[in-house]
Amino acid sequence: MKLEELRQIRERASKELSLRKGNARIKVVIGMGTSGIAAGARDVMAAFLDEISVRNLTDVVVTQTGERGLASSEPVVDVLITGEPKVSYGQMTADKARRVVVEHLVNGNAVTDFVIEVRG
Amino acid sequence: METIRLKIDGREITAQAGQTILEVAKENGINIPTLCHLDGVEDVGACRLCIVDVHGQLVTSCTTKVGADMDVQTQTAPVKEYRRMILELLFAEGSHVCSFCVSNGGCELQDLACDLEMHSVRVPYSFPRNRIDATHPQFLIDRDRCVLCGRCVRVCAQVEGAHTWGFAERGSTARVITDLAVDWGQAESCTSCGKCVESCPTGAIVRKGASNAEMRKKADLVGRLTERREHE
Amino acid sequence: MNRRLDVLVCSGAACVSSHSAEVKSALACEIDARGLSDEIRLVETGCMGPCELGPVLLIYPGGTFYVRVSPNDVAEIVEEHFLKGRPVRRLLWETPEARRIAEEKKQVPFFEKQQKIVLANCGEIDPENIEEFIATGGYEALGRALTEKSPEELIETLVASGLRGRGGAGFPTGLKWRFVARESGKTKVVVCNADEGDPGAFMDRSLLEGDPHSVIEGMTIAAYAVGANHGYVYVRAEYPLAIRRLKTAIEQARNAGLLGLNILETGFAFDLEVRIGAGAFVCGEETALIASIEGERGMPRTRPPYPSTSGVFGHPTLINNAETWGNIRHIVLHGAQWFAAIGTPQSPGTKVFALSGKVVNTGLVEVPMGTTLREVIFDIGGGIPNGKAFKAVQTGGPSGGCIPAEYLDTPIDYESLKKLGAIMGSGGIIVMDEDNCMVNIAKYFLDFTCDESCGKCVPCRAGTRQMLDLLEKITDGKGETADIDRLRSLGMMVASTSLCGLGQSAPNPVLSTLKYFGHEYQAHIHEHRCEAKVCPSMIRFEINPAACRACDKCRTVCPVTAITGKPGTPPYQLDAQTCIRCGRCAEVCPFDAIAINSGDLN
Repeated sequence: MKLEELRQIRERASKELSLRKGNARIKVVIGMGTSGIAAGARDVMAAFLDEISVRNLTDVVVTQTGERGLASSEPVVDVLITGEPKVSYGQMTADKARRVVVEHLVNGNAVTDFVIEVRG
Repeated sequence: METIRLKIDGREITAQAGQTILEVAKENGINIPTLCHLDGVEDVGACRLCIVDVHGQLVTSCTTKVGADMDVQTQTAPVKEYRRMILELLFAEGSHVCSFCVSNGGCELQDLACDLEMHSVRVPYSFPRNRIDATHPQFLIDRDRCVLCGRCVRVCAQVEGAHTWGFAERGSTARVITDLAVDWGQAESCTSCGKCVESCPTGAIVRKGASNAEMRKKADLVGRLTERREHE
Repeated sequence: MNRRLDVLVCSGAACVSSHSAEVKSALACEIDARGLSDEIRLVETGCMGPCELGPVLLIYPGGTFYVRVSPNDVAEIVEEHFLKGRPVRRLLWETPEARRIAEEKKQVPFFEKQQKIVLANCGEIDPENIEEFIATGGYEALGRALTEKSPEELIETLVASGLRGRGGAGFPTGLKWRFVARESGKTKVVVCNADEGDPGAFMDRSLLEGDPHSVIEGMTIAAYAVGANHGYVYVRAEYPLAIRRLKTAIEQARNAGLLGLNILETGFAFDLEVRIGAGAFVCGEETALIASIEGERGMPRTRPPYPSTSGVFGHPTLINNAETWGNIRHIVLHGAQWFAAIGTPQSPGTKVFALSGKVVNTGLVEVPMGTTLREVIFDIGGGIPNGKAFKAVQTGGPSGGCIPAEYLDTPIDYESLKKLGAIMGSGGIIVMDEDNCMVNIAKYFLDFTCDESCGKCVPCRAGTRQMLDLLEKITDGKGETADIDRLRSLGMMVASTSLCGLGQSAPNPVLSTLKYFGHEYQAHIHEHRCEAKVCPSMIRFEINPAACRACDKCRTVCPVTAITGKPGTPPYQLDAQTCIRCGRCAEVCPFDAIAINSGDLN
């Protein structure tokens, strides 16, 4: 192994460790209470994770949170970007999730069609 | 060879580089007490009796090489006191009763006690009760009289090349053993050369048949042997 | 689904002994049962630090830190946290002083005050996966050293960094490297001293268990700098987990071309051998360790010659402690200036300590040099448990000294500790409270060193024995006034005339307690009083007639029928002659009617 090869391994392996870095710029929080899961939150989360990985976004973490009382709007997803107000999306689906990744996370424009709240 | 100038007890002395403080002192008639040192084998600095003060540091003169402008003190108050305490510890640790020892009158430990004016032992005796190993046809070892100087171990390995003697256990239970702690008579590596007997400073390793105060040893034997080998 | 959670299970020896392996397998089962295997990765890491609270789990992203996890908690963690995103609050670390629950690992005061350099990877990566080490920048320092730096430059960097040996003596590491580099011998040897023998110390063990590659990398860099092609890691047999992970790491490094004949294809050759010690304390002394590597009895040799001139099999040998090796890659990566700015000017960098004894948070901590004892014991350690009063802290293991409360604000560095009659040692910190008898503590440590003495030199072999006998005499209530002087003069002699560091430092616990806690020795000798009520010969159990309700509990548990009385007719009587001072009666008495007293009756 040469030094360049070592550095390639590092490149690849550090992506594996990205979850542990904890200084991501963007945080996607998926409501995974009972009603969220019943409304399809797991599919939404899978779509987020997949799209983020396909697009090779390294400064995004996906976490979950519990029930917050907006059962009719579930699945609910919050997008927190450092220095910007918190944007909440409601009645999410896998397709909507992919749009949020492209338009909001990558291009920086909230997908106003699904926004239920902007706060902060 | 490089010549070195140093001071021992205030005396200006010249020495050869590579010599130990002990060697230089001896050459110049300055007496430093020793016990584990034996001419002809490596020095190990085990007994600590040959400590001297070099610029405020206590070092063993048998293992410390002379250096330029060294100021060696062999008789400061702490040095003398520590030597005496070490000697007392040796007496208290074993069972050194001269009056019924074969080496009485020919014992280096006894000589040291006289030289260092050890009038009494200020620490309690431990009265060990080790079994005497008299299984060897010619020799025997009384471990209660052993001071663990390791001269037997070194002479057996470095001069005879037999490696019969070794150490076992540690701390206050440390002892010299033959082969893998078998009786001396069963130690197959032993060549019965007797160098350990002549090297032992006390009445621990002795020739059978000697009675009270009859044992006399040739401690200089090993030194003479190795010297002759070097000249071959 | 893509991976979204990393669950780090501490698998340091302390957590393993509190059954972390069972927690891990329960987690694996539960995650599998719920079909979450693709989303969640389980990682076994090295020691995370707070050993008292094991098994511990660290979950990323978010850094949730669970303590005292049992296999029974696993279902709830998976259901609530992994599936529904609600951390299980009852398993979070509640810090006693603030009654505050820490949501994240970094909020815990135990971690807040620490600065992890050597231990940065411990508890954060899988020590058996070389790629995780590489991901954190591992072997980059070696790569740069081999391709961009000359051996001289590396040595200059080390000298300028001011790094000092972490094994205890604090000798400047760069100078040691320079000495070995200047030796003309063809064969040179690099050695890692991981023969950590102090009771209560586990710095080296945790490093080898948690980040073995950092030690390998440091040694390889040094080998290049001094011109060595062969190295040994000397570990004691009592560290099976550390040995296993180290061997795995060496194997991985070899397979990756990071050890062996052609490292990183630069033509530089270096390889490592693991030597397992039988667990003699004296083998932590470098010349004894070298003798042991050679296959000889582990006995120290006189210095000079120093190992840098004549070490393993007579070859010039560079020997450093495991923690020192762990620092090297960081210094090469970040530079001497960066390192020198951490800690104090005389003692730069951080130091890892094993915190144990009467302290709330026992475990492994890493702080910048110059941090005070008070900060380590009270801020990080969480103070003394059960509202007891602090009495003393022992630094440097059995050869260290006991430091009383008035010196708690002493900064931890080599010189400050030495001034107090203690030593840095390899980094053991044992905290003692009002229930510790300092004479008994001195006896305990001396018993250890006396037992571990190799027996080669007279002062250590016979002197420590005499000192121990004197201490036993005092704690047995048979001490005389003159014994204090005897102890002191024997101690001075052993310290001044012993061959190696073991004997030279063995009297420290006695001399330091004589200095700072002399009144306890006096009380033992003159009043037969043990303040801490520890020494059995000086305590007596007494029934307070006013408090006794004749419940009969004490009488039934007394194993020697020293207590007599009739149920319902107080007070009961305790016969001091028969009593064996086992303490069972005081334990069972519901009315606190049985007092433990010490000292002569007037």
